[in-house]
Amino acid sequence: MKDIRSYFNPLHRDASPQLASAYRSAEDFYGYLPNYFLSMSRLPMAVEAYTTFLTELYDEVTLPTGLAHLISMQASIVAGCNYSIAHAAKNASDCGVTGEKIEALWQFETSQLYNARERAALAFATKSAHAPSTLDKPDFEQMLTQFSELEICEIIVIVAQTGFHNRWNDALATPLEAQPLSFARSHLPGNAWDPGKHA
Amino acid sequence: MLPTRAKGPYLAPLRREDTPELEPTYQDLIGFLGFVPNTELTMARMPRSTKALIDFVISIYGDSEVGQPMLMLCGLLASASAGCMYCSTHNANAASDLGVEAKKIAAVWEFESHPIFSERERAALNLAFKACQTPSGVSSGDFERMAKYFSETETTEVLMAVCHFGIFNRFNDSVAATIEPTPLAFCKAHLPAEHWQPGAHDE
Repeated sequence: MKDIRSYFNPLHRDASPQLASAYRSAEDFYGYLPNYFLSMSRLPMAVEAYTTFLTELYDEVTLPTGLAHLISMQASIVAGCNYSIAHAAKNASDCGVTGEKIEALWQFETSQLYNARERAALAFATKSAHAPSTLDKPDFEQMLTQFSELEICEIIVIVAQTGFHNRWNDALATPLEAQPLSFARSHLPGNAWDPGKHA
Repeated sequence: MLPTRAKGPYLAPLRREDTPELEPTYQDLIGFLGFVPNTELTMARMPRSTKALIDFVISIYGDSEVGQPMLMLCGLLASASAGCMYCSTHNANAASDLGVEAKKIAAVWEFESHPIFSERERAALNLAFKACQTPSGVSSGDFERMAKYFSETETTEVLMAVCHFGIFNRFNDSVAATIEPTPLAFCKAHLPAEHWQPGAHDE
């Protein structure tokens, strides 16, 4: 089968000088310019607005940023997008989550590395990421014993934002950049993650 | 059919006056959809994110080359494919507001065979449907099919409209947002019951 990327080529970075500032914001956020910004760049206004949404969201979140990235990673695991999993794993590492803890995300419900609050947040995020959602009223009642309404809203918005990342990159088979690819190859369990079509 | 869940909302919408800083965003939404959706009133606990998200939506639909009616039909099928009846309802109602006839909206589930759709529309709806499967059902052939009728910019637009519903589908289905009266009445009157039920999103 022919590579789908040959049917939908990202523009080169230099092709969109008006996006220089948005690309810099994305680089500040990720530590590199992700290829998916280049595949969106035929719609420069949407790239700018998306970049603002992404950065505002993570800036506004009051939950620990490391947990926010683990929530995004878990939502990507549910969606089966290996590109998004690697991005979120690298982001979590960059804000101080240990490689061992990131690797243990697939066992968050039993791993000693996760505390009760993190487990509750990740179990809630898992249900939120399913299509359709498997959350029900009792899940919210249970969450309210440990989290504020704002924090619950944050978890859902992180999962929701990841929904764009999952769909876009899984549809386009976006190639993984060197940094998250290298991190994921060293730290994610080989039986649970491989770059597949994103290599 | 979808599993039965308790009626929502599981997270209550704030009152519009609780977040005066979002009033310009609410005005944008009234201009775009005709009302302030419960989505944004619920997400208003995070006002900066809410504003930025709506600015992102407007950047996609604002000066669309493909045209808003086509994007709304794609959004309808994408949301239905992801199982979010709230977003399905909004897209169906918005398509109607933009002049798409009700029988065409109701036929979107039969896009491959129903004579009301052109081959061009079918190519876009096919991409919309497959992009919302988990994991993605999109393959090279779907982009080849798009390239027969759409420019690369137009294909980007269709995919962007579909994928940005990944945000709204997850949010609205997670909180079981209540569908507002106007879109609910339209969908109850026009959408086929075997494909659309308000479920947890009913008033």
